[in-house]
Amino acid sequence: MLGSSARADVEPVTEFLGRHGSSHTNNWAVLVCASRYWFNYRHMANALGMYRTVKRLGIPDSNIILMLADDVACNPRNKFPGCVYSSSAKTLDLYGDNIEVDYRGYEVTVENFLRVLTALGRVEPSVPRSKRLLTDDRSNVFIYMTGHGGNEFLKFQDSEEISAFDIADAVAQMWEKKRYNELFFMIDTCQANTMYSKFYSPNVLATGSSVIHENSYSHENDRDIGVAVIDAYTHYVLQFMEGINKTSQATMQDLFDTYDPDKINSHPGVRSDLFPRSLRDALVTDFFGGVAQAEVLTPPEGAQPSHFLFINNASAIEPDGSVLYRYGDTATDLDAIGGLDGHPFLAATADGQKSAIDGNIRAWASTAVVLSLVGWIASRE
Amino acid sequence: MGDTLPTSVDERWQGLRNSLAGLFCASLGHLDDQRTTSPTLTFQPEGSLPNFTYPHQLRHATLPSEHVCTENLTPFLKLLPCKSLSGIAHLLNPHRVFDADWHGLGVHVRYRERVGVEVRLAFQAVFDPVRYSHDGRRDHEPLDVAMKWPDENSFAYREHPIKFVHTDFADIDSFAADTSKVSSLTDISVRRNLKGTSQADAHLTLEVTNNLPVRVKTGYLETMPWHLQFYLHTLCAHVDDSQRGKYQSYLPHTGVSILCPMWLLALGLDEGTPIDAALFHRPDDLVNILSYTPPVPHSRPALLQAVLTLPPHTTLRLTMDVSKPFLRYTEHPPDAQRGWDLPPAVLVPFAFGEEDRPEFDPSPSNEPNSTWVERRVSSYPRRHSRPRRIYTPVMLVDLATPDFSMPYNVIIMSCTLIALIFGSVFNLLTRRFVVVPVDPGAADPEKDAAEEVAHVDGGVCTAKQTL
Repeated sequence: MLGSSARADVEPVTEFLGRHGSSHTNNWAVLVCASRYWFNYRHMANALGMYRTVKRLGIPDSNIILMLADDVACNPRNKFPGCVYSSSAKTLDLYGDNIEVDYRGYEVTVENFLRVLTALGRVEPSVPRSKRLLTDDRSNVFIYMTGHGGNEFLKFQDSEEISAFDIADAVAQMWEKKRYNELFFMIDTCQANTMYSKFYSPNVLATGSSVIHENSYSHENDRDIGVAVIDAYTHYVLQFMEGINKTSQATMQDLFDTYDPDKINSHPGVRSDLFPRSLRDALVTDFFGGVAQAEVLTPPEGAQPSHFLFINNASAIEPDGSVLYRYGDTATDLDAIGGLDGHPFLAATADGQKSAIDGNIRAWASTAVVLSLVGWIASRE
Repeated sequence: MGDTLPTSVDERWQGLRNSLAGLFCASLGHLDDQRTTSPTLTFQPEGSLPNFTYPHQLRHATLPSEHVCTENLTPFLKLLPCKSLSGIAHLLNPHRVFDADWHGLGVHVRYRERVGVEVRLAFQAVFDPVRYSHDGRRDHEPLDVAMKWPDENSFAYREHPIKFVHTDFADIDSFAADTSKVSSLTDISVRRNLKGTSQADAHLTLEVTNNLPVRVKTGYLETMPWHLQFYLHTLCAHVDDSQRGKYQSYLPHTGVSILCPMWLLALGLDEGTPIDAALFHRPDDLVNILSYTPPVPHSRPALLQAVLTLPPHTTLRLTMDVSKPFLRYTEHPPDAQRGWDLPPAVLVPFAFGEEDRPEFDPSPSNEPNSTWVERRVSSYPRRHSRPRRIYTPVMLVDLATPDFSMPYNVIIMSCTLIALIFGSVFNLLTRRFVVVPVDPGAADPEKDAAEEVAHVDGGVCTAKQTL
């Protein structure tokens, strides 16, 4: 196959694969119910409702970290053993037949949660893969938290708290370690919007159930179970999600437009200033769905005309079906062949040098300022 | 554990429990050093191992507060070839089995020569058919489990004889009165409880009832976290409520009575070495070989192993005083007021009247069901097979819990005190106190304040000057 025709083939593929505007190749979800005790049944149901949704939309169990601080399904007080219901109609059993809880009971701690997020070198080598968030810089991560909280904190198991600063720092560390591409943070707790107010890392979209000094309320009670079964905010989010399927083109803006403070009994908030894309372009399935994305590179021209389609783990598929594994390839290798466009890299390097010069100037300037200040004070004496 | 090959036993133990935790969605990763013991008497290696006497190490840990629920069954079913879709696994409907009166889930792995690694998955449940029947009928049919294997028409299951005890419920009073004569369903029953209202001391009781007409020897294992510390010198044995003597054991070479585990440490015994059988060997008593590894607070559990001799048709009661230590603030679980779950005691019956067989001579007139008993006794595994273990239920101990808001009170109080002290000391150091005579003719004291005077009080001014 000649290079030019290959390039022509690439165009529709690129158009097809890249139409969403999101460049992620895998999806991960961290779902946390931070409340213990039977009367917090609704928080377990919240997290399990999200679990069902992300699983239904295609995120496999291996990519979902589910943390449940208590076991309500097999609680002796549960009239329906092995079941968790999120509505008094009890039509849908969330605990069901196929559930994998990764962290449960006493394991749900602030420390474990932060270790899951920041991971890589922060967990013991023998910790199984199911308990790790094995994301990369092409992962879209969805973090859902629920529990009892307050102004800039969320309680874990009634014994410890995680603050908004902790989460913001953990996310910043994730960004530095290239552990996410885009991150969607959703929290359902009292004064929830304070929890995302401290984020400062790029590509973070956040939403919460209530503004500061405002409670989040439960949605409905069940007489058989005896306690509230779900929170209002999560209930309406899940109601919206039930209308979404894997190929849905609904955007995050559509989700946020469904927020109705009258029905939810609190004022949900959205923070999108760190999020580069328009909410009208960001699909709901970018975060809730397990949609695999492939990245198309232009084929290298020259001696070895071959059709490289880089999918996630950099395995190259040739037109005749054979697979070339090119793990060792670097930009210079490809550049030597002549196919890869080196301009972005050069631009990035130049940018890096420029910023280095900038940094130097800034350092010298600040030193000079400090020295002059010291000198001025000394001369006064 | 993958590519990194841990070398030490403890590293591999950690790897094992972490992998099991990941595989079965359980909190088994929590089985740390505070729960791990090495009871070599009670648990002996199974499977085709090179040589039994070869030096080996054993690790044993219990997680008493763990719930078993649907998420544990899911990975369990995924190990089966057809999941729960066909075969006997079809019975494993999570909603039914977790509604059972009792359920248990087990995974046994052992190595067998020329066979490989054998994994046995076990699920046990006790159902109450009356509770399941819609109209509460009691004349239920035996459970129908005729189902299909993937490759067979039907599978054979060993049918246990189903016995119905017909009782006349009209005569309920006499029925209740006769319950003492009803033969027990189990050969050996065991009950363990903790008495005492104090938050510092308690009384541990173990009651083992031998329902067989022969003498039974059984291993007894108690792995106790350091949340409960034994006073071994108070160990007493009662047989059918008559005391058999106090086990005031003596160290042979010193003659010092052992008062508490701490004394053992004081006597220079290494913490790691279990106090050996020889120290406590009392051949003609009911508690024979006592091996005890004292706990190390905040790090290692206690391990008590003994061989109990149960006379026929008697109840052996062991009592012992225990003390409850005071936990550190951070060592309490999130639901501290609920109490701590203590691991079960384990009994391993291993000898059924073998050495005193001549004594056991039941005449048909005395023991009408002696053949039945013989059959039951002989049905017990003797040697070279898997020993049967009896576990007691988990016990709950109520430890002294602090008021968890107390640290915050302390922090607030101490911060206030420090602020007060620092403020006054700082003021004393940085201010100069002088007596300023106030001229009554002065027009306005505020004018003076423009210079130095901060406050006027009864003719004496406090002058402030920065140092």
